[in-house]
Amino acid sequence: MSTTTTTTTGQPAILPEGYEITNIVAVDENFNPDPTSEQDVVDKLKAKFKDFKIEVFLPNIELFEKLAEGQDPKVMLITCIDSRCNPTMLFGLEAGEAFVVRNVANFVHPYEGQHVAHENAAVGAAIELAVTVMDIKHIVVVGHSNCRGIKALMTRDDFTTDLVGNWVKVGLPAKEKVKQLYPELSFDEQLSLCQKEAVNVSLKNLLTYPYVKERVKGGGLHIHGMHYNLRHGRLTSWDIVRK
Amino acid sequence: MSTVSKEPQLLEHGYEIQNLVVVDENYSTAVEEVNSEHDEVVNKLKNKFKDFKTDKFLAEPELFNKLAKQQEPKVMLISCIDSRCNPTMLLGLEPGEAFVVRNVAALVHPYHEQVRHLEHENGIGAATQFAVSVMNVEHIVVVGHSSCGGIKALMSRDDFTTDLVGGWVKIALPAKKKAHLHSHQAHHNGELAHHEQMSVAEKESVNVSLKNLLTYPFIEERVKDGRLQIHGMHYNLTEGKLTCWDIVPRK
Repeated sequence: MSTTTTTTTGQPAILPEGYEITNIVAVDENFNPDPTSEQDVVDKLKAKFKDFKIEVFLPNIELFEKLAEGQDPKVMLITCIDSRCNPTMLFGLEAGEAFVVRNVANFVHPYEGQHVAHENAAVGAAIELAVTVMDIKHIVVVGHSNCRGIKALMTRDDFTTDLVGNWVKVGLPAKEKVKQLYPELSFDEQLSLCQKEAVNVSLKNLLTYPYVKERVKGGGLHIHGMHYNLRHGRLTSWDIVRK
Repeated sequence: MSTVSKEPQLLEHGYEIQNLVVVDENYSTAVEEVNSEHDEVVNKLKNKFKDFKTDKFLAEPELFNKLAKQQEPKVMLISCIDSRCNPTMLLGLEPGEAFVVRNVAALVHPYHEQVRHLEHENGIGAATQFAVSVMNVEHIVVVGHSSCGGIKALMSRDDFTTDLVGGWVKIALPAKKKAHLHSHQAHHNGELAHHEQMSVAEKESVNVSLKNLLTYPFIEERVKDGRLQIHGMHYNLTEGKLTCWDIVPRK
């Protein structure tokens, strides 16, 4: 494929100094992969998109045309980046069914007002959009076993040394609770409990968003926790409700 | 041993846990039908999980046992929260294949030294640091898409300080500038210009994110020495088309 600096229209694209765009391809049902390509990992993604186009998109064209006009999901999932925890796989999500946020250890940080630094706005922007603009009815935070983010939370003492530490320290209340109340449990058992209590920390933090709290109070929004045990293929599920 | 502690310390004052259930291949919805009226949405998720357990998890024990011991994905995807853009659906992801970050408009903000300090959380930073430095992924792909609500907000607003969506999407302001420049130079009529502008903005915002990824030292280092490659994708959800490109160091 030719080297170029443009993605679409012949105008120079935004690029970092010293870099160029290459290998521009459009994948649809007629896509023919380049036999000389050695990019196995990404070539596979393109081949799978072609499959999606042929096996899912085209046979369900009415659904996809409707979705192209607009989406109306009723639920937002907040899940981990873990490669074994794809919500589409676990929950058979259909196109248009759910907003999905994915970050390390599926954390929600507390609301800090309407004006925050970029870096702190990611999950908040999603919550704001899903709740106040798109009027979803349910938010589900999905934790899981074997979570490296929760493991970092449980094993570290210093959370200021790197980006992962700085991110997961929001879960410290879960760690403290587990260590305080269940000191007799093995580390693995504490880890498992912490994964679930960290979900509760995120759910509690969701309620610090005024518009979330208000809608939960009024019955128009429901919040739920889930924990996927990926060793046993088991899902624990619970709701947080007003007393 | 209880699976989730029912003690209220970690719950907001005035709230409690209800409807605690464990779903596996034996799960029965009978128990929950009483409450199911407003919980149809979540009941469906549980039933689908049961299907997953039966049709996939139990059907491929070797794969899932192996994954329970560890994951070794070679790629990280950064994509949008949009309900029509599930990467597993679009790109046929198998479990264990890819780390996936999803946020509004698949944006990556630049790295600042100061984000190491306590006041900035930097979820993208945590995710990429883990995937790249700890788990050694070989590819990062940023996947934008058409009809993106975040890019729409970017293009239609003048003030980005009023709410969290504004504060977030302003990361992509260079893409807005580029789209306006394109429109001006192309001299299209009003209607066409808007569509074209949106499309340019969506693709250029992917480039903004890719450019910002390279401000992370552990990413730049690996891209320069060839251990890591970065790619952009744009899913046109009206046409069912995926545009793909690579960003590489100039030779």
